Amino acid sequence: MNNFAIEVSGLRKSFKGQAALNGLDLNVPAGSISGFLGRNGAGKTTTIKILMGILKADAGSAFVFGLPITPGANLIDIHRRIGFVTEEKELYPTMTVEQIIRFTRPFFPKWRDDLEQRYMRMFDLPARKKIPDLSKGMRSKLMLLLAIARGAELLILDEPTDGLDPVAVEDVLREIVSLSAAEGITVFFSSHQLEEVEQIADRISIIDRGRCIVSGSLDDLKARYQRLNIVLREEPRSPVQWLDGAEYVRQEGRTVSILASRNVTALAEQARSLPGAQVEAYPVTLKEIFLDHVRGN
Amino acid sequence: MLFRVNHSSGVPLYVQLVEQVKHGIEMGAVRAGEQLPTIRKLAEDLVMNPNTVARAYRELESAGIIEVKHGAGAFVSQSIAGPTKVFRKAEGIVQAAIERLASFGLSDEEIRRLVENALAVLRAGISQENRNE
Amino acid sequence: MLVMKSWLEIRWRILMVLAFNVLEVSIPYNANGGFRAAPPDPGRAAGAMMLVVSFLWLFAASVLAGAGIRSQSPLQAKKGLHGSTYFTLSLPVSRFRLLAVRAGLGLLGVLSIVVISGVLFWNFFPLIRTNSMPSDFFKWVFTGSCWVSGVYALSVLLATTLDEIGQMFGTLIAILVLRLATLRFPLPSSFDIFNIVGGASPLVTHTLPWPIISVSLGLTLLLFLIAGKVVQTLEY
Repeated sequence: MNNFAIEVSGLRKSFKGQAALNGLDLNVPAGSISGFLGRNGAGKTTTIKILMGILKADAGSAFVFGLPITPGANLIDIHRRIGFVTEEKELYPTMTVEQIIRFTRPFFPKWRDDLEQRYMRMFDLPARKKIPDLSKGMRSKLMLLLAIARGAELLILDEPTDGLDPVAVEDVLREIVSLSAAEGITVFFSSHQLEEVEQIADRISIIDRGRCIVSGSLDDLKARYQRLNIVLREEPRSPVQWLDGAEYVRQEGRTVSILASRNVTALAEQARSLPGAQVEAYPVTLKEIFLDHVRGN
Repeated sequence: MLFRVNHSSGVPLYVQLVEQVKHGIEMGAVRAGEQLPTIRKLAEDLVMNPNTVARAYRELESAGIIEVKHGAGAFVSQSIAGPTKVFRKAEGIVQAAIERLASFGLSDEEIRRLVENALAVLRAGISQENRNE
Repeated sequence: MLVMKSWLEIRWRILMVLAFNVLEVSIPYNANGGFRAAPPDPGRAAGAMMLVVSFLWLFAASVLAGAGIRSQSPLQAKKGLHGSTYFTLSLPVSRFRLLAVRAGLGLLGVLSIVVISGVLFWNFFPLIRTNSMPSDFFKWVFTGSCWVSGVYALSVLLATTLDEIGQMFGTLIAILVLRLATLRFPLPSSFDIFNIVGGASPLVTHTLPWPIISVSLGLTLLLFLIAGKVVQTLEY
C-alpha cells in the first residue's frame, strides 16, 4: 500500500520575521509508527499545529489522508479520524475526568467504549476529580485515553509520555504497538525520549531549524550508518578530504571520529591509507545519529 | 519463548530478532514444526513495532527457517535441524577464545568491545589489515 | 455537548451578575426607607434608577461574553490562551459553531438578567411605576434587550482576541468614547441611546424607540458575523 497518512512538502512558517519552518518535507506512511525528533524550537510543534489546522502555513503543502490542509478547508471530516495529544496536556479547567469524556464522546461516531474502559482501568484515572487537580502524568494519560478511544485512524502525539513514570511509559508504548498491530493505526509522535522512539518507531524524521535533515526507516538508518574511529600515528599536516558518506567528522589531534551514512568500506580504506592508521567500526544508536546531525547542522 | 532485544544497540531490531529466533532454534528452545508467537503478540510482549517483527519473520521465511501459513501463523520449518553441529563447534571456538582472552588479563568489557568491533568490521566488509606496525 | 461546556464556563458568572442585581436592588430599598414616598422630582429619580439598571445590563453583557472559542476558567480571568483551546480545535467542529454555541448561551444569560433585573426593579420601586403602565414594562425590557445585545455582540467580538480584562476595558472604553462623541456631536433624539436608557425610556415615553431598536439589532448581527469571521482566521 503506497499511501501516506501525512504528506508535507516545502512547508514554511515564520513568526515575527523568524522562520520556524524553512521548507519542511515529511512523509508518514499509513500503518507506520513514525517518530519525529528535534531539539526544542526546531519546529516540531509548529508542524503539528499546521497539520491540525491550528496554525496556517505561509507556503508549501500539507495533506492528511490525501486531503489538503488549507486555510478555510473543511477539516471536520479529517478531525473525526485523528486523535491528538497536545504538548501542554491542558484540558478544560471547568470539567472533571468523566465530564470531559462525556463531552468528547458524541463528536466521534466510532468511539470505542471498550478502549475507554480499558484505559480508565489501566491508567487508574479518578472519574470525579477536576482536571486542574490532576498531576501532569494523569493529564497525559487522560489525553491519551481521549485520543485513542475516539477510534481514530491516525494518532498525532506531541510528547505523549511526558510526566509518566517508567511503568506507565511502558504501558503506553505497549498500547501504541498493540493498536498498530491490531487496528493498523498510523502513529506520528514527537518525542525527546530517543530510547522510546528507538523502541517502537519503524520510521523517523529528524527536524532541525525548520527543515528535515534525516528521514527514513529506522532499521535501514541503523544498518547504513556506522561510526569509524581512526587513530593515526601522527596528526595529519593537511586536512583530509573525506569521501562522500562521511557525514560528521570530528578530529582531535591523532584521533578522528567519523559518522558515515554510506560508503563505509571506501571510507575505511581511505582511512587505512593514512600513515599508521588503526580503524575501528561500530554500529550507531539513534542517539548518536541524532546528536551528530543536530550539532553538526 | 524468551526473546530479548536491545533497543539501544546499534544493531537493527529486526536483525536482532532474526538472530534470536535462529539462536532459539540452535539451542533447541524452538523445535521444527513448532509455532512461533503471532506478530501482534510478539510486538506486544517485546513492546516493539509490529512492522519490525513482520520484517524479521519475512527474513526468516525467505531464509527457509520458518514457514508462514496464511491464517494459521508462523511455524518453524520442518526441515530445520536442531542444535547443529556447526553451532556446537562454534560454541567451542568462542569458549576457547574467551578463555584465552581472559587469560591475557582483559576485562569483560574489553573482550565484548573487541568482539563487537570484529563483527562490525565483518559486516562492513572491511578486511583486517589494520596492523601496519 | 458544546452547550454543556459553555454552561460550565458561564454558570458562576451568571450567578455573580445576578448577585449584583440583588445587591443593587437591596441597597436603595433598605437604606431609603422613604423610597415608597414620592421624592420631590419623581421623573428624575426614575431616570436615575433606569441608568443604574442599564449599568447592570452592560456589566452582564461584558462579563458573560466568553473568550471567543478559547476555553474559559470558572471565575478568574486568565491571561492569554488556555492550552485546552488546542484540544477544542482538534475536535471535528467548525470554529463558527464553537463561537455560536458559546455566544448564544451567553446571550440567553444576558437576556435572562435583563428580564430578571427588570422584574426586580419594577416590583421593588413603585416610583418607577408611577407614570407607567404595565405595557411600558414590556416595552422597556424589550428595548433594553435590543441595545444590550448590541453591547454584548461588541464584547463577544473583542473577546475573540483580547483576554477577559482587555475585553471588559475595551467594551467600557468603546461606550465611553461613544458617550463623549455624542456630547460633542449630539445625536438626533430618536437615536440618542444614552437618553433612551434614562429619561427617555419607554417607561416615560410609553413608546418603543424603533430607530434605536433597529440600529441595535443591525449592529448586533453585524458584530456577531465579524466575530465569526475573526474566529475562523485566527491562529493559535
